[in-house]
Amino acid sequence: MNITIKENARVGEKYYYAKHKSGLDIYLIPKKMSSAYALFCTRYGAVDNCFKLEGDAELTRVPDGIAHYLEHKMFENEDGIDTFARFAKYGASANAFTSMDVTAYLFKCTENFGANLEILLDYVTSPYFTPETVEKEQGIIAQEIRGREDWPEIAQYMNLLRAMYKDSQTKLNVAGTVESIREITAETLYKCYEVFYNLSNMFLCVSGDVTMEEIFAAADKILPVQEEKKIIRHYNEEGKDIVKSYVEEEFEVAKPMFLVGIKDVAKCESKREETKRGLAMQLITETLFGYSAEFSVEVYESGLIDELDAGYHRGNTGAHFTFGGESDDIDAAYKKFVDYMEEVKRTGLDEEAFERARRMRYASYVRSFETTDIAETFAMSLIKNIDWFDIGDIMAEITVEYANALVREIFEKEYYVLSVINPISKEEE
Amino acid sequence: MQIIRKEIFDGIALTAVKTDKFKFNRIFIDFIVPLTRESAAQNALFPDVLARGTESFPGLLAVQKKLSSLYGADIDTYVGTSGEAHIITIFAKLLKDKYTLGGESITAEMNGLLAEIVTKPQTENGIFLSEYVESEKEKLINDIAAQINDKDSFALHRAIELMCENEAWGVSELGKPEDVEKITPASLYEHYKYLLSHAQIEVFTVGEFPEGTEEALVREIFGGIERGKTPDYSTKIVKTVEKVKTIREHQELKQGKLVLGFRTGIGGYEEDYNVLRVLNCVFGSGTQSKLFLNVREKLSLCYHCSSRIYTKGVMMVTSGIEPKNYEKAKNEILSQLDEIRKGNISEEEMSSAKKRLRNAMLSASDSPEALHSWYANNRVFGVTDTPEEIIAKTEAVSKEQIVAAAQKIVLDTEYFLCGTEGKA
Repeated sequence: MNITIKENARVGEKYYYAKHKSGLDIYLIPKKMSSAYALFCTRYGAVDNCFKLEGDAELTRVPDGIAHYLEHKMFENEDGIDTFARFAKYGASANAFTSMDVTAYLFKCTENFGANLEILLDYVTSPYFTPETVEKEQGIIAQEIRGREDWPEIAQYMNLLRAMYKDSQTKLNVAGTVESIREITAETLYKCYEVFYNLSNMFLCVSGDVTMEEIFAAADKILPVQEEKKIIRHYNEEGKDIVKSYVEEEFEVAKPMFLVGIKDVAKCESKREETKRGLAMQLITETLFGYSAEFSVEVYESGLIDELDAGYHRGNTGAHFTFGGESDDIDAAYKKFVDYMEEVKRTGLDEEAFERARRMRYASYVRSFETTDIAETFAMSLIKNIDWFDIGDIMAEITVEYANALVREIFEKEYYVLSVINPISKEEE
Repeated sequence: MQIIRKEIFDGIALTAVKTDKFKFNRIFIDFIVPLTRESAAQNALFPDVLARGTESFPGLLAVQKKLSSLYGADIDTYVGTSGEAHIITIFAKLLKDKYTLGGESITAEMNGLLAEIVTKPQTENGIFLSEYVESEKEKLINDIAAQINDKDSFALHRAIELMCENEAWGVSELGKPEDVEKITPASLYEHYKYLLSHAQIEVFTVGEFPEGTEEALVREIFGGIERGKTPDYSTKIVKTVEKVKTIREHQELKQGKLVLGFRTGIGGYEEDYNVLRVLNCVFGSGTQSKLFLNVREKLSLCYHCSSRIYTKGVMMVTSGIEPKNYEKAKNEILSQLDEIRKGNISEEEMSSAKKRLRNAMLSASDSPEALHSWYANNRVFGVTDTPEEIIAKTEAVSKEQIVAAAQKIVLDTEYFLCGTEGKA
């Protein structure tokens, strides 16, 4: 076992890394906590709907929502014993989630770490589906999708993505649609499994009061040695152009809601440059729309915008900035935002506010290390090929000049998209 | 981890959890009073007005700029309930000095700001600023109206409101819009002064504070306040149901939200509440529960179906389903409860339920918020057990005790929120 140690003295944390002989990358962030947290992740999510293995002639196109469907079906086993029941025996609380770029299988436990880890490694490497068990999941996932359709915030965000992105898989719904999941069969699930659940496309991330020896003991016992597979993923190209600049839907909500979005389609030279760009956008967002920004206080006090929320999201297929909230006068709220950004582009960011924002983001970076949930933060960062332990240093090197240039580059108002949720009009009743 | 509780003033106590586990220090100030229709809106409103400005930091911008200069320190306020007690919390969170970029100390400044927010709000003519009160009233009314946006949570709270319409527990923790309307800067200020002098006040700290700082802070904030008698915030437990209420309401929805409300008759005061904790895990909490394994896994009727118990002596079951499956889902939930009443509980179910509780209790010490909520909610019911003591008690629970408790559980209310297609 060849272990690399990386330390971040300032936050007082370190992690261990080693490659297991099976081909699996293993990370451990040791923490003296009661609870340990382990995530077994594959670099496979909703955006990976078109792919092939190196050497294959043709790309394979699969139904939307299949990565998520596969996650559900991994909990079933050939011996008929449900995976949750296996964990329950050792007192772990188990779960899994799928997002755009990742499928993660996880557990948290306070006892029997080794036994629980063996279960995790075992069930994720032992697929078992039949047409009957696949069919049975339709009703459950259909209700998961329906439940999400009743969330106005989700509808607003999905509407925004579909208006912003012409071709990119970024606009896909993670769970697919009630219609698309009907096309999923045991055979296609196996096909996806074989491609994406190769250990060279996966990693294990653990945080807690455990050792690399304990983790390797479980890995040695359970994991087969696998030959690396080269996956070729086809992601659709996306330019600056948008589908439409305005989209709306009605919902039974108290007050109109709005969300403005703008794509960031620039290609970065390196992962480090991409990380820096993302962090700079977070600092910009904090400076311009954080609690202590004059803009935020003004729209709060005047009542123009409630529940103000702004953020920058970056996945492996796309990145965008969003700004939104609730308002009785969406036109005025939208205009306020547009004018504000035009003014910021002219005057530049307030340097004092920018430095305060840097301190705030730094504190929240330190906070990410407070509990064993750091395992998840670290894993989600690995999915984007970013080392979470480097974040503090990269954040420190961002200058206000760099940030100002970024604001001028990204906020081009002709590419803004506005997504609105209006309360249901009751006139006809 | 060391936990010390000390009464500092009459009805004002400090619970200090001393631990070096976390990167931030946290201070929770809980005002505990009875939950009543008359006072709920005022309780929900006053902390938001306090956060708008203080004598030395007049205005929201001044307060927020100060907080952001202290590494984005956070002062937040929220309201909750524990049984029929209304808990208003003012919460502060601050990066420890040892993690600041230049090694500078920020703790003393933060404590000063917190003390000011609680006791030195901006005033005019001896009452709150009318501008702040009116603006926060409008926001509170918006928040109350916005409860409709989250459909699952709306359905649950609506079911509770209807089930307990004649009980304090049926009062919404944010109050009613018409009660918010009536509040004036003078009435709110009077209510705030009343809370300072009469509410049970529990200060809860988690972290590494220099020796004596926690107590000094409590003395700085609350010293010199003349204290009166704390009102009774005990919870009334209803054990019987005369007639089951069946209510169906409609909204534009893709999925039906089913809520079943039961009376367990066992409140947070009783030792038997630990029996309910195990029963709840066997029945509907977690992926090893009967509801998950049957309503979801066996019948594929839903994505989520779970139960939750409350110290009020109530158990609520919630699920999201296809509206046409209403009877099927409801009957399956009731029949799973019947299985428990009949004693159909396997050894494995008992042991998985207890292990789930054990894991949850042991994990609590990893989260400052969980620690606070554990001690704050128990304090209301006079329970002083540590999570470890509760583990020992739940591990001793027998199948017979669960069966006996299940036989006393009665259905009170069936609530269904669904789309308008089937509306008469």
